[in-house]
Amino acid sequence: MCRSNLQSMEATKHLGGVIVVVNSSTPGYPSRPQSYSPESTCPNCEYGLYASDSEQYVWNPNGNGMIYESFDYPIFALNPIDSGSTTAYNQVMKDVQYNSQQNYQNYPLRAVDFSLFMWSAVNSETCLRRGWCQPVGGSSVYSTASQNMTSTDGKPIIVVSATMDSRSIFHDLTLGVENDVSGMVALLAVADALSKSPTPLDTFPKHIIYTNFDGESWGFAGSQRFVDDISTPFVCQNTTTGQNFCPLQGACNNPCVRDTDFTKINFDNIEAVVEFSSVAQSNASGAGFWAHTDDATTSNNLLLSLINTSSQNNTQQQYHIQAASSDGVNRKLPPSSAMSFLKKKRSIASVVIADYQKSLDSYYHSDFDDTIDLASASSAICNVASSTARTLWLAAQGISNGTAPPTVIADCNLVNSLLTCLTYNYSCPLIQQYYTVNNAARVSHYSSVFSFGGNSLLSLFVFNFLGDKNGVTRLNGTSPATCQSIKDCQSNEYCIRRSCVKTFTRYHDAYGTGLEFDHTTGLYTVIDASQPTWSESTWDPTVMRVYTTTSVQHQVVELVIGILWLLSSIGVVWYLRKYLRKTLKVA
Amino acid sequence: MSLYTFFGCLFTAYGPLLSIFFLYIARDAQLVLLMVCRYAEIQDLLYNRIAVFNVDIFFLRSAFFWLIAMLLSSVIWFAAKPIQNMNTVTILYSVIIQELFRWGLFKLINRAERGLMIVSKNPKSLFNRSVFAFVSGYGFGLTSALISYISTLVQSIGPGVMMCPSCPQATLFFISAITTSLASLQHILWMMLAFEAYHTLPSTIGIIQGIWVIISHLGVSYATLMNSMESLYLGCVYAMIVQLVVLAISTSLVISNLKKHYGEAMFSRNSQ
Amino acid sequence: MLEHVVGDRNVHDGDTWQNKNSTTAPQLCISSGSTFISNTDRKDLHLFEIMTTALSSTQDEIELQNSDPVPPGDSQCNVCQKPAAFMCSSCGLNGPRYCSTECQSQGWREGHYRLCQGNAQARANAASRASNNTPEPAAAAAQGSIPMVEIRNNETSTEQDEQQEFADELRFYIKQIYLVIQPVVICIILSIFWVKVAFSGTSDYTPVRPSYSIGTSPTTTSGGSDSSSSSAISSLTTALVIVGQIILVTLVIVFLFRRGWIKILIGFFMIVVVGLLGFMSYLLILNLIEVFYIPLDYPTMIFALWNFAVVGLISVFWKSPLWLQQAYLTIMSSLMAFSLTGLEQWTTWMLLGLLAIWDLIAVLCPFGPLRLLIESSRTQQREVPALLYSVNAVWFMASMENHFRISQSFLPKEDHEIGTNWIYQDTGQPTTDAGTSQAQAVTTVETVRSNSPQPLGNNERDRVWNDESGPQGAVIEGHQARDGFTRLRGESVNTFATGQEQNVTTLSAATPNPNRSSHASASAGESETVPADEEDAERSGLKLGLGDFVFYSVLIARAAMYDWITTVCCTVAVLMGLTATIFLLVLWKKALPALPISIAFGIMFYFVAKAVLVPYVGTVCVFGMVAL
Repeated sequence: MCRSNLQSMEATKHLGGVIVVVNSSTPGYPSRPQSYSPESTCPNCEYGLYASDSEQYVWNPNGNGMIYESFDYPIFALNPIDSGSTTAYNQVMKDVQYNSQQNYQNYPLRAVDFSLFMWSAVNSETCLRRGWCQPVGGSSVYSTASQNMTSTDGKPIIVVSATMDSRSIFHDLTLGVENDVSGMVALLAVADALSKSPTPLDTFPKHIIYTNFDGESWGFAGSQRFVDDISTPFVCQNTTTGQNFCPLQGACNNPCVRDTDFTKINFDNIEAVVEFSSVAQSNASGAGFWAHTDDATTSNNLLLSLINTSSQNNTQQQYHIQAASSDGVNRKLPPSSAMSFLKKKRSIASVVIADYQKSLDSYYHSDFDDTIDLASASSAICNVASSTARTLWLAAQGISNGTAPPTVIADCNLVNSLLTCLTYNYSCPLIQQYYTVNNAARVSHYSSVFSFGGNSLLSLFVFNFLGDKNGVTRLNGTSPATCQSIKDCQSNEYCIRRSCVKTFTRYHDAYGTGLEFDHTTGLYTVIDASQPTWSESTWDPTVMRVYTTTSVQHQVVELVIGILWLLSSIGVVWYLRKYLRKTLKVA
Repeated sequence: MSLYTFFGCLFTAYGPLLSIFFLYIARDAQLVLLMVCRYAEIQDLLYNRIAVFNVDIFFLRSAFFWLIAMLLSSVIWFAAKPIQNMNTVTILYSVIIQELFRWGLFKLINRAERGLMIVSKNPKSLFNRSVFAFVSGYGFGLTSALISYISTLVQSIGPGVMMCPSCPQATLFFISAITTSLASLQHILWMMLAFEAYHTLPSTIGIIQGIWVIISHLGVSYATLMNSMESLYLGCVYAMIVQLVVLAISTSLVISNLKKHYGEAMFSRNSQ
Repeated sequence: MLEHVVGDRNVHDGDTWQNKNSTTAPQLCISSGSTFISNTDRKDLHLFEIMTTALSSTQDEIELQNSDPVPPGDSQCNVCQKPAAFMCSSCGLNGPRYCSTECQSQGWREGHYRLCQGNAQARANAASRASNNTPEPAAAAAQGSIPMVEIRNNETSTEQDEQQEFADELRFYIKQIYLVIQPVVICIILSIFWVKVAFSGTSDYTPVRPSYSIGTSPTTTSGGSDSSSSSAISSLTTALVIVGQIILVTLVIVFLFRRGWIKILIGFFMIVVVGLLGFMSYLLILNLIEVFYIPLDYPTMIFALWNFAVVGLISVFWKSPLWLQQAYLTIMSSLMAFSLTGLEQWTTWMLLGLLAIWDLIAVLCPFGPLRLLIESSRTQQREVPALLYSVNAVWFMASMENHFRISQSFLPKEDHEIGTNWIYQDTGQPTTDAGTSQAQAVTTVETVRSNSPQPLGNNERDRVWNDESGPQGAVIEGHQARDGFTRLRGESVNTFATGQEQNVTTLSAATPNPNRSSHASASAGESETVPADEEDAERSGLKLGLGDFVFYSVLIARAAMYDWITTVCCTVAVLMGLTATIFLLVLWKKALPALPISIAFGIMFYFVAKAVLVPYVGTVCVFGMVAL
C-alpha cells in the first residue's frame, strides 16, 4: 500500500474502500516487500532533541509518511494470524475470485460494506474538549534496586531505558518485534543479570534506574513526561472542595497522580542514559551493534567501556558493540527516549545501542515488523544484554578498569521465553508465574489510550518482572510471606509472584506533554501545541461484511414492476367495483 | 440503492391487497358493517348471544382465524422435530389446518347469517354472502401475506440479497413477493368458492368446488416448493405458471357463481 | 374503560310522536331501546352511552345506560315558551316545538328554515301518517311548507320500525367501533415506529426506566441477588410496584374527585401532559436525530418543542379543532407507550397481566374504585376530569360554553338534549349564541349541508355518511334530523332524543400515575358553570380512554421489539380483543374492562408466535419460499 497506488485508485472515482492484506511470509501468500516503512523520513524529529537544528539526519529514508495521512475512504486490514482472521481472509479471497470470474460485470456480484464510525472532530483540542477523544498513552514503568533512594542523597543515577510501545498503520496488528520488543527484552535481561550481582546493587555508589517508557512512538510522550515530572518540583494542590474529576484515590488529586515517589529521583543527579533501540539483529547480517551518542566527548567514557566489555565478553564479531560514528559521520542520536533527558540537560552522557548504524530498520513502525527468527534474535539480545549489564556493573561502581563477576550475565533462556511471551504468546509459562492469564496470545504493542490507573498488559508484566528482580521479599520466618493479592500485604509492599515484596518499582503516566488533565472538568486540554498532543478518537465497533448484491438496473426493474403491478391492481379493482356496482348493484 | 428493491417488493407483494383495501374495504367499510337485523331474530339471537359477533369487521375476524390456524400448525411443526426440514409434510398439515379453519369460519358466519336478514341496500340480496366471503377471504389473504412475507421484506432494506435457488438471476425477495401476491389473491377466491361450496354442500357443484379449493390449495403450496429447488432450472417460473393457472380457474368459477346469483337476483327483482 | 356514550337517543322512529301532554311514554319508543339494554325504569331517562373513558391505565369500564325518550309533558314552545303541543314534523322529537302555527312561522323565520328543509315526499308521507292536527304549513316558509304534527303518542309499533331502530342502533355501534379502531391503529403504528427507531441499535437514547431492582425497592424481598434466577422476581416486584403506583393514584383521584377538588386534579394532569409532551418528545427527537443523521440545532429544536408542547396543552385542556385534539391524544398515548418500552421484557409482561387483572377488579367488583368513580360522578353530576379520546368530541374546559350555548338555544329549557356532536348544532337560532363559535358551527353545518342534498334517500344518506366519515359522523344524523325529514318507512334516521342531564355521565377514570399518560381535561370546576344539558352535546359517540391506547401500544411495541411477525400477530390479537370487548359491551350493557381480553390475546399470541411461529415461518416461508 503506497501512495501512488492509492492515488491511482482514487483517481478512478469509484473507490469505495480498501482492504489491505497483511500477511506473514509463509508460502502461498504474496510475498512482502523488502522494506516498507509508513513512517516519515525523520520519525518524531519535531519532538526530538534536534528539532531546532537546521539540518537533521534522515534516519528513515524508506519512510513514505503514509501513517500521517488521512483518507476519505475506509481502509481495513486482514492479517490471517488466527482462526478468526483466517476465516475472514479466506472468505474475502473467495469472493474476490468469484467476482473476477464474473468479470466484475455479471451481476449478482459479491460486495462488501464497511462500518467504522469515528467520533473525532477537527483536531485534538476540539475533540478532547468534547470528550470524544482520549489521549494516546499508557503507563511507563521505572524500577530501581536502590530502595532507599532519595532526591537529596547526592548519588549519581544511571538510567537504563527501553521503549515499550511501537506503532503501525493498523494498531491492532502492531507488534514492533524488531523495533521495541527487542529493546524491552534486552532491558529486562539486564535487570535480571544485574540482580545476580554478588554485591547488592543498593550498595553501589551510583543508582541504576530501569525505565521502560510507553507512548514513545507518539512524540516521546512517556519519556518527556517522566523527565518533566522529575525535573520540576512537585507541588500538590489537593482540592478538597468543589468537584474533582481525578479518579485516583492516590497521593494527590491536583495534579492527579498515583503516587509521589518519583520525586525521590533527582534529575540533576542523572549522569548517564543507556538505551536499547532495536537490538534483535533481524536483518543485519552479522554486522554487530552500534552505539550512538549525541556528543562524543561527554559520552566517551561510557562508550569506551561498552566497547571494551563487549569485545571482552564476546568471541563473535557480530555481537561486538562499536561506535556508530566510527565511519566518521556523526549522526547523533537516533529517535530515542534519551533525547528527552538530553533536552533538559545536554551534558548527560547518553548511548543508544542499536543494530543499525546508518538508518533505521527496514520495517520501522510497520505492520510487517512482526516476524522474528527466535534463535538468532535471542542470542543477539542475550549477548548485548550481557555486555551492557557488565558495563553497567562496572560503571555504577565507578570502576573504569575491571571485569564484572561471571554471574552478571544475561540468561539466554529467559531472553528466549521473554521474546516468545511478549510477541506471540502472552499466556506463556513465564508470565503465568507472575499472574494468571487466559486467552491472550498475540498482544498488540500499540500503547492505546491513557487512563488514570489503567495498565496495559505489557506494563503489568514489566512492573511485575522488575519488581521481582529489584525487590526484597519479606520473610515470614524463613519462608516468604505469601499473598494472593495486594491486600494481603503491608502498605508499602506489592504482591509479586505470590509473595509480599518491598520494591521501588512504580508506574508513571505517559501521555503527550502538550496535554494536561483538568481536574475540574475531567477533560484534557492542550497546553502546549508544540509538544505532542496525540489523541485517539472514540469509535463505534468496526464491522465489515460481505454479501451478494444485484445491479442497480436490476433493482430499478424490480421497482418498476412493483409500481406497475400496484397500478394495474388499483385499476382492476376500481373497474371491478364500478362494474359490480352498476350491473349487479352489489358493491 | 436497496430501497428500490424494498419498494419494488413491497408494491409487488402487497399491491393487490392495498388497492383492495383502500378502494373497497376502507371506503365501504359500512358495507361490511351494515348489517341490520330483523327484530325478532335479533331478540332470539341475543338470547343466544351470538348475533352481535356478526356485526364486526369481518376481515379482522378472518385474520384472527388464519392466525390461529398458523399457530396450530407451527406448534405441530415445532413438536415434530425430526421432520422439521421436510417441507412437504409441513405443507400437508398446514394446508389441512387452514382448510379446517376456513370451514370453521364459514360455520360461524353462517350461524350468524341465519339470523341476519340483509336489508341494507338490497333486501334479501344473495350477493351479500359473496361479499362476506370476499371480505373473509381478504382477511385470510392479508394475514397470510403479512406473516409469510414481512420478514423477507424487512431484510430487503439491507444491501445484500439472496438469489432464488431455482432461478439464479432473480432475487429471492422478488420471487417471494410474486408468490405472496398471487397467494393472497388466491385466498380471496378460495374463500368465496369455499363459502359457496359449503353453503350448497349436498349439491354436486358444491362438492366439486369444495374439493377444488382443497386440492388447489395443496397444489399451489406444493408447486411453490419448486421455487427453492436448486436442481430445477427455472423452477420459479413453473411455480408461477401453476399459480396463475389455478388463479384463472378459480376466477372463472367465482365468476360463474356470481353470474348465477346475478341471475337469481334479476329473477327475483323482476318477479317483484 | 369502554363506555358507550350515545347522547340522548331518540329511540323511536318516524311514526311515533309523543304527545307532550300524555304521561305515558310510548311503548315502542322505549322498547326498542330497552330491548338491548336492560329492564330499566322507563320513567327515568337513561342515556345510552358508550363511552370509553379512562385515564391511563386500567380504568376501562364499559358503561351503558339506557335512555328513553323524554316524556312529552315537558315541551315548551321555542318561540313563546308556552307549553307546546306540536312540533315540526320533519324534525321530529329533536325539532323545535311550537304551540301554534304562528309560533311556527315565526320560528321558521327566525332561523329554523335553515335547518328544516322540507322534503316533499316526506311531507306527504308525514301528512298521510299524521292523521290529525296537521295545520297548514306556514305560508312564510320560503322553502316550502312544513307541516306541524302534533306531538302525541303513537302506540303502534310496527316490526319494521323496531327493526329500523335496531338497525340504526347497530349501525351506530359499528360506526363507532370503526371510528374507535382508527385512532387505536394509528397509535399502535406510531408506537411501533418509535420503538423501531429507538431500539435499532444505532441510538444511544433508548428509554430506560429505573427499575425497582432487588435491593433498591422497598418492596423487594431481601436477599435477592442479581442472578438470573431472581430476575423473574425482580421483574415481578417492579411490575407490582408500578401497578401499586397506578392503584394509588387511582385512589387519590377518586378521593379528590369525590371531595370535589377538581382543580388540583386538573393542575396535576396539566403537569403530566406538559412533562409528557416536553420530555418524551425531546427524547424521541434525540432518537430520530441520531438514527437518521438529521442535522438539527438546539434553538430550532427547543423552539419547535416548546410550541408543540404548548399547543398540545391548549388543545387538550382548552379548545381546539377536534382533529387536533384527537391527534394530540393519539400522539401522547404513543409517547407514553414509548416511555414504557424502557421496561425490561418480563416486567412489561407482568405489568400488563397485572393491569388486566386490576382492570377486572376495579371495574367489575362493587367496591372497585372505578365503579365508585363513575357512580360518584353520576351522583355529583359532574364530569370526572380526565382525558378521553372522543370520537365525536373531546372534553375540554371552559370554552365549551359557547358551543353549548348553541345547543341550548336550540332546546327548550329542559331535558331535550341533542345528544350529538356539538359541531353540528344548529346555528339558525337567533339566540344568545356567541358569534365566533357559532360562525364556526355555521360553516361546519353549511359544509355538511352541501354534501348532503336533501332529500336523502338511503343511498344518499349513506353517502353522506361516507363523506363525513369521521368524527362528524354523528353530525349528519343530527343534521338530518333537523332538516325536516320525517322518517319514512325504510329509512332509518338516527336521531337522538335528549335525556336528562343527571344521567349523563362522562366517565373517565383517571389514573394519572406520574409515569403514565393521563391527560386530564374538562374541569369540573369550569363545567359547573355550564348547564349540564349542554354537556350532553358531546356525549354521543364512543370515547376511548387513553389508558387503553397506551397499554395496547405498549404490548405491541414490546412485540415489535422482537420481530415483525410477532408485531402482526399481536396487533391482530389486540384489535380482535377490542372488538370483542365492544360487543360484549353491547351485549351486557354494563361497565366492562377493555384491557383484559386484548391483553390476554396479545400475551398468548406473543409467546406462541415467538417460540413457534417465527422459526416456522423462517423455515417454510422465507427459505422454502412456499406459499401457504
